[in-house]
Amino acid sequence: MTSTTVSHASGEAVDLEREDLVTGHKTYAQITNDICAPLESFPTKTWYKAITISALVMILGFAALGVTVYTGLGLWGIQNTNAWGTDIINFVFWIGIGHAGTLISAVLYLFRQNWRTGINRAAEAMTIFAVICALIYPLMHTGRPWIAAYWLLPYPNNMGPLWVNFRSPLLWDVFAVSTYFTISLVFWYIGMIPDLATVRDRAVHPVRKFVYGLLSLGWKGASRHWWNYEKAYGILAGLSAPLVLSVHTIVSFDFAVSLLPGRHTTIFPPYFVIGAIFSGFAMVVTLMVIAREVFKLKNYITLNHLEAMNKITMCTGMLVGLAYATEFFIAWYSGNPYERYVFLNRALGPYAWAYWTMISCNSIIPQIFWFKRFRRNVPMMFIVSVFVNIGMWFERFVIVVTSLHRDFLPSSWDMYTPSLTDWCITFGSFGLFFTLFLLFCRFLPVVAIAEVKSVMKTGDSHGH
Amino acid sequence: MATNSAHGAVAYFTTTSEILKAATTAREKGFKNFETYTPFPVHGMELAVGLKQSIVPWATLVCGFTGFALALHLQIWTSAFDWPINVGGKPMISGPAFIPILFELTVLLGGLGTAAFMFFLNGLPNAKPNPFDPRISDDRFALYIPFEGQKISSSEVESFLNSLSAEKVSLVMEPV
Repeated sequence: MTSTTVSHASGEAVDLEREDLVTGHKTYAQITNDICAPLESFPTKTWYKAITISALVMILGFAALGVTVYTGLGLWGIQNTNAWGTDIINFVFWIGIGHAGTLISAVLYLFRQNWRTGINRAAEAMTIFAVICALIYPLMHTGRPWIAAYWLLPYPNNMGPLWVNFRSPLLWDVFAVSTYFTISLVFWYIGMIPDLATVRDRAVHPVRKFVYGLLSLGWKGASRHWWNYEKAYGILAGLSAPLVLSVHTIVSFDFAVSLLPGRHTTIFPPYFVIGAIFSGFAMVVTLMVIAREVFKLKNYITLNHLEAMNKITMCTGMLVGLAYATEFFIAWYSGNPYERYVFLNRALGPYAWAYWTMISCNSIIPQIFWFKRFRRNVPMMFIVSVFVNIGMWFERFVIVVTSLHRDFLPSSWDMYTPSLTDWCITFGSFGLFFTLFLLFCRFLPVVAIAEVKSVMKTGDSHGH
Repeated sequence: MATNSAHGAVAYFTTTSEILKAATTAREKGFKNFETYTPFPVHGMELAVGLKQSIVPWATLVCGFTGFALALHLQIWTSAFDWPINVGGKPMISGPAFIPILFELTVLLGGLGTAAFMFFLNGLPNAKPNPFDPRISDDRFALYIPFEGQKISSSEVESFLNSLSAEKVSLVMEPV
């Protein structure tokens, strides 16, 4: 149903006509053609340039990881005072980026927000790739990734067996993140099966037909199949919705269950979850703005989609700002001198520049979206989304570093400076993320074809 | 036409309302085992075809409980029985500390079980080639009626399909 008639206060009926989710009056076949086009033609020069740059950056990151494995964690900027550095910052950052995908695909699905169909596939892909980037860090953080499985998983061994500590938030994290990755992957793949079948049925080259035939598992689109499929998809959405909230909650426990001032606060779970959604939505905007331009998908990822995304970005940005203010108030209200000091040190100490970068990028810059003109301005939203991601990276920097660098014993105070290796690994993870995303755009349908068709307004009446 | 060697007949439509109407008519006429093939889930098709409630949620329930029981057993047995270690004076069975993993394993097994059971019910993976027009994954909606098991003859099934004002009606020679 796309139009609603409501009665005005004056008694007149006002027709609220909603804009179409898919613009350009497309037929079903045109939708298939448009979305399959990037998969069925040779990539553009821009794509080659982009993937060359991102793959080079990725290789740089992997080289830095290799050197770290060979030499040891001494190459990083961490020391006794600041035992957590860019590894944990990037881990939390990437897990946060991943949240928007599941939120868009699962939570908006459960709320029947049909506009999600244009962007859910790409957002879910982004989730998978972001979690892959995130998973590198805790593994490397253990210092000996080759035996990390033994520390991280309850693995029967010859030492008793000596088990992992189930009372540790770090172990909860292992379970939360791996569950999140698995369920997101399954959800993404199941959502893609009908579209892979569409690509298979259009394929001309036998190799192509075989590969997509394999990936689509022989999907036929019978009503009995759709019936079970939709049920399973709905249940997976229902499972993913609390899962996505649990993941960043548990990530926040890594900090909140510790006894450090500035981290040991009950606000952390909601604060982390909302921050994750905030940064994730910003990253979706960054990617979508580019993808719709490069792959000519402006009729599917419309300005309305982007505007809705920007509204959520602004709303979550204000919630994050509220969390910053609440933290400060509670630090003062607690009367605890250590807690008060940590917060004053954040805002006025040697890392004040990081704190104020965080405040301005996350809480001030997105306020521009109060104006419809800016919400619908593509270059503007691109710039804001990049700022939000910078701000959210610094939020994690502030949480990780400022609680550690001046601890209870002033003689052990120290500054934290990421080393060159740290920066190479950090940029390398961006390279990995963009490389995976570019490959995804090239080989898989970026927009959920079947879902878009089922929500579009067509000439024939659906009778509902 | 050589209806003897055919397994059934299929009619192709171009809109969702046509396929819904055709499926409803086929059900009202008492055809058995007929099936529709659509490029996307059509709202109301379960009523038109007359499908019973899907049993997929049972897999979620069973697998979810299994995950919960597994997590409970794993945590209590390893922490309190197999090698009890005092961590910060916490009780051996630290209820609240076990909750996150209870939740995660419930969701993990519940989700994987749901997906696996859906694949099983739908007969996926399926290597059989599709005998229909490949456009049923693009913009065509098909109603397939097998000849076997119907009360009326093959040619009457075909003429019923022809009466539905379909875009195209054809015989299906391969088994579906």
